[in-house]
Amino acid sequence: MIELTEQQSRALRDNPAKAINVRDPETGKTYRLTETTSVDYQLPEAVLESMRAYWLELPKLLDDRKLRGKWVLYRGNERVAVGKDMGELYRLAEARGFSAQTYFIERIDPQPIPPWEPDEEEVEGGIIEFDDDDDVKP
Amino acid sequence: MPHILRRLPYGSDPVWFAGGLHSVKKNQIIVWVSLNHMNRGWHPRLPRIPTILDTGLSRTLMIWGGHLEAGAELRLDDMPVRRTVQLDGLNCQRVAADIWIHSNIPGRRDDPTGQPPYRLRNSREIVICPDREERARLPILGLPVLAENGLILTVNGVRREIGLRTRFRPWPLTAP
Repeated sequence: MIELTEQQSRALRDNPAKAINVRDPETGKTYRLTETTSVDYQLPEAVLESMRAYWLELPKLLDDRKLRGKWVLYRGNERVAVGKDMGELYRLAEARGFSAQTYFIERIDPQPIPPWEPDEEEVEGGIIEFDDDDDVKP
Repeated sequence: MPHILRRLPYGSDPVWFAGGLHSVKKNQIIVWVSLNHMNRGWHPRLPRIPTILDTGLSRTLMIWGGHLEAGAELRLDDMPVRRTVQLDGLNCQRVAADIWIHSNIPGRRDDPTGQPPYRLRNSREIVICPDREERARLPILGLPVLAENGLILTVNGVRREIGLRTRFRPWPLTAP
């Protein structure tokens, strides 16, 4: 996370709307700094470890034509199982008592980016709402 | 024809959800769904939650973390992570989950028929995002749930109603 400069921090505190405009001197572009209560969701360390193991072994898995298109379950560095579908492996993880955020299940397919990277395609289309004059207020 | 939603009206009646009354815009379509951990099936005690159907949404279903707990009675920590995805630069989590759509009594938006809901067999994950006050107040149901599950959506702009149906199978005969 980028820390605010003292000047920016003071400007935000002094502004009743808790929002200020800032300008990048190099590009001349302006940005809006505003207060938010949102906190990023981070991947749990155990999931990250499982994802890294998957990513490391993926080339080897892809070399095996019998495994291509199947699903694989990793927990930490351990490859626990390979299955025909995702649901089967989630059932297995639950049957073995794995906590939900300690493992990773993915298809054995070429992947454009490592699994810990956010999807290339952002969430698009989350509704933009306008206030209508005749809206019924709860 | 196997209908899931019949003559479902859209309008601005507010809905009760996650401990509060939420306003609805006059052109927003409310579809009631249930969520559960993958493979745990549907049961009548699963909460019904109102979602806004938004065919512009590129994901199956998006819900805020607070709503997941208060409305769907599920915890993010209990959901297996599939990947992360960003919304306005913030990290959201794609987690494994099952989704059901509740059918309605024709002509009524919020009243369920009482029969088991329709399971979206091919949509097995949802996106959970950090709470944002400035975004839509309700969970959002996206186009992928219609496309991935081969559903047919009709909008009657004259009567201000929608319909949703499957192509073939009479869904009450399939296990929920």
